[in-house]
Amino acid sequence: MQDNEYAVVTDKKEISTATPGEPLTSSAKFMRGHGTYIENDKVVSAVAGVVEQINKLVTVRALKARYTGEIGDVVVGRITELAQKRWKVDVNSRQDAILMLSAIHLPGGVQRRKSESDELRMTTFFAEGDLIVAEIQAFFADGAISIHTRNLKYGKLRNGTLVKIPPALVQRSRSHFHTLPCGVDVILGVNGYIWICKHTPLEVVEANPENIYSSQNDAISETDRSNIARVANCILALSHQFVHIHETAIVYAFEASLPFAIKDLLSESVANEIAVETKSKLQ
Amino acid sequence: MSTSLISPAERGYIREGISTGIRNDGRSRQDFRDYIVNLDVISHSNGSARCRVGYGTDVLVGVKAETMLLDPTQPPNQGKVVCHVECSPSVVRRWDQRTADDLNNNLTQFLTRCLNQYGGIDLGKLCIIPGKACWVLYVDALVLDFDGNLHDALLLAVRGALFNTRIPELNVQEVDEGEFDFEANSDPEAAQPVPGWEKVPLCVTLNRCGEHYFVDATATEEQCTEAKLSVVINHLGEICAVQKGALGAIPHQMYADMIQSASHLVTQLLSALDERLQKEASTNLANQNGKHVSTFIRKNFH
Repeated sequence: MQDNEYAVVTDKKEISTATPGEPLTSSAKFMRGHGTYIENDKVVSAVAGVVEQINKLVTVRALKARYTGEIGDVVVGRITELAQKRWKVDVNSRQDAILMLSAIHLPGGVQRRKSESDELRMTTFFAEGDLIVAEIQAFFADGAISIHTRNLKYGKLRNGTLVKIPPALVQRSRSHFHTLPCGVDVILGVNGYIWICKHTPLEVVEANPENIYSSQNDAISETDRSNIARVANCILALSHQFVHIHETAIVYAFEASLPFAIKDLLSESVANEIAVETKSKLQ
Repeated sequence: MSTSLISPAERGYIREGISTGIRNDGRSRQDFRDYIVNLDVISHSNGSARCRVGYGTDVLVGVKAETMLLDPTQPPNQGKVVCHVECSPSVVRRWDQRTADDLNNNLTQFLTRCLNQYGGIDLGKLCIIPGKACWVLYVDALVLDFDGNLHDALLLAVRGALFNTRIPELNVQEVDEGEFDFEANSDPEAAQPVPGWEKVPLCVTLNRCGEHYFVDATATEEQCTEAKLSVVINHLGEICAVQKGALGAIPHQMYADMIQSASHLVTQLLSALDERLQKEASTNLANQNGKHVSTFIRKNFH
């Protein structure tokens, strides 16, 4: 059987995409990897995505997949459940991540005394529905993610809004906490959840350690509020046009968006215009 | 259920945004999201439309016209409209089964009431032979995606689908003394529009949040409101139905104000929609000269 009968001839120079059910190659010569299955002696794609080949192993990386964590990733998540000495956190992954009571930073940096009263006070730190930013610490045996917030940069989120984009569009970089020139803080969660909020200098956070578990917003000026809305819409516009989201892209998109009203940024024509301009500046 | 959770900080931020008039996506309280209406998306129905609001709420409506023999319990010289609304499993995933069933029933009843009692469709003209046979219009809606403001999107799609619907012409013959028989004309050119489609009303849902109310809430915004008021109004500005949703109350003074602004908003919405429908119908006609492509697929992978 000729290999070039198939849509995907594994030529490394070209990026080839596959749709579910598309035959990739013969199973006699190749091994099936993630995102594929074997049918009638052929390796068939199980997902829509990019075909990758390492020696004899053929895999298909899905375009829209759930988030797969790696140790050290900064993630934004939402508390979904309280359990014994732990919180369960939705991080757009296959299963909820776990935040242990021992993995959080207590107000004032005090040492935790392991006691029952401590467990009963868990909701005063994080309650169901709260949004948090955390770092991936380890994995459990069943593949569940274990996260921690043992640093002042991590913890509860307030003064802003959440935007959800496909995780594939956020790349891992040295820093995921950015302050934009317009006075807006952006936390790029590698899991595709992005938090956009009013800028709070680190000194202020350090000076008020009792505020780290507060659910009360600070006063937000109208300028800050419109800037947050504009940044949120820019990120959504870029993600709808499949542009990678990082600090520079957001700044360029923000500049490109200034001639338009904030609410118009999500229309397809404007989003496209912004994406084109951002891409040309990035090169 | 994780998607229906919201943190107190988020709720506070959204509510404050509504009161200052800068919502999370930069809209003011009176701004609608952009929406798209596609016509003729299901080939085997008599008429269909799909309405997408923003990147979220997505409703698909199909209308099927069938002849029915009247039984004596029914009004002898009227046809009828049967509605059914269902949320697709991909939407229901975010709620438990009971909430989803409640929502389906709520929407089905809402639509049935809108179309049968005050809907403007000329039920008398749907009668074929008085006392014997009539047309039944099955209006089936499927909610494909949800991001708030379902009632408004539903009626936008229903009006689109009824605009698009063509009922086959019937030749009624007298077989015997007083006995009639009819036969459908298979010529698509001879098919008739739904009598009274232009009178089908639209809905505007106003959401109360503290001292203010706003239109076209997203799913997260709906979680931050005390009460919803869906006002259904037709092209003459007549109020056809009012339905209150959510648990909170609406102050007397605000209620009158809401009804006023709803009728103003519907007038704008209606003329904008009709313009879009005419445009969409003419592009569809132009496209028909090419080979037949399933419009459902073609339009949504632009």
